[in-house]
Amino acid sequence: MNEIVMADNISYTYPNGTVAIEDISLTICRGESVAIVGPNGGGKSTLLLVLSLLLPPDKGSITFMNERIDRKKFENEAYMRKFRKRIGIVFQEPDVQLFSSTVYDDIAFAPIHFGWNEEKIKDKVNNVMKELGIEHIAERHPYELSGGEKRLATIASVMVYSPDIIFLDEPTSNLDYESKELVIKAINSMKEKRKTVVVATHDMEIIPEIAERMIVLNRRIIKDDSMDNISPEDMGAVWGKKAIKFFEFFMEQRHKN
Amino acid sequence: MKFISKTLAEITSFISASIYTEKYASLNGLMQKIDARAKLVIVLAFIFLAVYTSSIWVLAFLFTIAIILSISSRISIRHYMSRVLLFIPLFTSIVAIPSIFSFITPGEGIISFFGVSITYEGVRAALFLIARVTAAVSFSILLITTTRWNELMNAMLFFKIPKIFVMIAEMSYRYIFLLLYSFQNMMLSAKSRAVSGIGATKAWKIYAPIMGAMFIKTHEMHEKVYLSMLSRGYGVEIKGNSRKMRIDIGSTAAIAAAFLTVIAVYMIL
Repeated sequence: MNEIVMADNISYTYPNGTVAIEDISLTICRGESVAIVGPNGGGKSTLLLVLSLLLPPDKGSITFMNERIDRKKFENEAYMRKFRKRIGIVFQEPDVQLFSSTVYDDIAFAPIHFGWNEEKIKDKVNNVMKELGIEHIAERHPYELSGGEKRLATIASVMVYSPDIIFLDEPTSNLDYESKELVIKAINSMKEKRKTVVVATHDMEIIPEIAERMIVLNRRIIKDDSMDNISPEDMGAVWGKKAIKFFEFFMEQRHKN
Repeated sequence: MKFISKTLAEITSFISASIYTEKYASLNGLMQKIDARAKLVIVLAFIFLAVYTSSIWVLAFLFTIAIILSISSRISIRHYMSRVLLFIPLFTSIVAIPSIFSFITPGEGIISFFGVSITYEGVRAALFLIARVTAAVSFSILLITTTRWNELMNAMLFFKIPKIFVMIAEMSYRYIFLLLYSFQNMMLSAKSRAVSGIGATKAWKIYAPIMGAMFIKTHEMHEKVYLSMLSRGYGVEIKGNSRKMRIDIGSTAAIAAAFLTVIAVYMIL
């Protein structure tokens, strides 16, 4: 009853023949915070697109809020729209998500398409901008923003409609320390609101701060366990020996906090 | 390589100019206060008058109105004039040049050479065409500069302009920045690795694959942008910004003033 999304033996192969994910089965429950980690090309982004119901799996099935979604349903966009309000996804490249003439318009994009009234849109957009501290960039063109501001604007564009589950793809890539802190704060604010947060990342520094559960992925699931049961050696198996020391250090910090 | 550098500079200036245009749209000027739908009606009324008038004085009057409106909308005169007076009259001149010769417009000759003469009537017709285009374009630029893209799209939808046209315009706007940005970076990266001056033939051999890569990137980007739109409720129905949905009294008054001006000019003539 508590499950929000379930993947049953799903696989996805790109049209050029590249196998992105294979035989993945997992369940994500309401309120969980999950980190999906793995090497580049390990299928993290593809898994997020499939779990967020944007790509239909080639094999297997997805169950979202107790509703099994087969390929036929995936192709019926009118039917799929009822799930869109419940799912948010922040893409790896902010540029693909920020395409309006101002940041305000980009944040208001989803509420407008979900048919909210004018007052509600204005209210929610202003609130989320205030929460993330980006009111000053509301009228700026996304092209003019820094990397950190772009990232916060994309997070705001999802947080504004308060979805039940939020997927974030590499939310801290190419960010300086200060911007990274702001993104982590935004993720933790979603967690405080009992939102389900799924983050695909290979930034080991942020994993202990944002996740309670970790899925190690390299096309297939290598390990899926709570953070406390993940050993530095599991990380080493994915990223090599150097990763072991890094992970040990960050886990120590987590326990201290 | 000079050609490439110039192309890069042009791309950068295009992006900057577009952003500045959006900046003007968010200023607190006269035209910015008017509803986009009202602005569309007003501009079309003035363009209609510019197209149908046969008086150079009316064209001069319309151009003056456009300049007054641009000043009261806090648009930089340099920005506005460079758009109105530089490119469009230049292109129109190229189209109008043949009409100055006697074999197109017969009449009283001003200068003759090799049996062909430039006629007074021809020059008059060419200048009139340039003036007409300048007056019409000055209003179009005023509309584009003082209106947000989304609001303009909404206004077009309101007047039942085919959705497919509006959708293409909307999408073009969304992709153009992304593509130009990528193109700019790819060109700079190629330039940074070019050790010395490269001849034109060799330069094309280097830049042809960049063009190819751009097509692939365009395809990938289009997929991702579409998925990002889909995830936020985008459907078959296109919807715009809802910040300005009601036509206020000021905008209604602006429509009335514009129509009275158009009718008065029409009656006087």
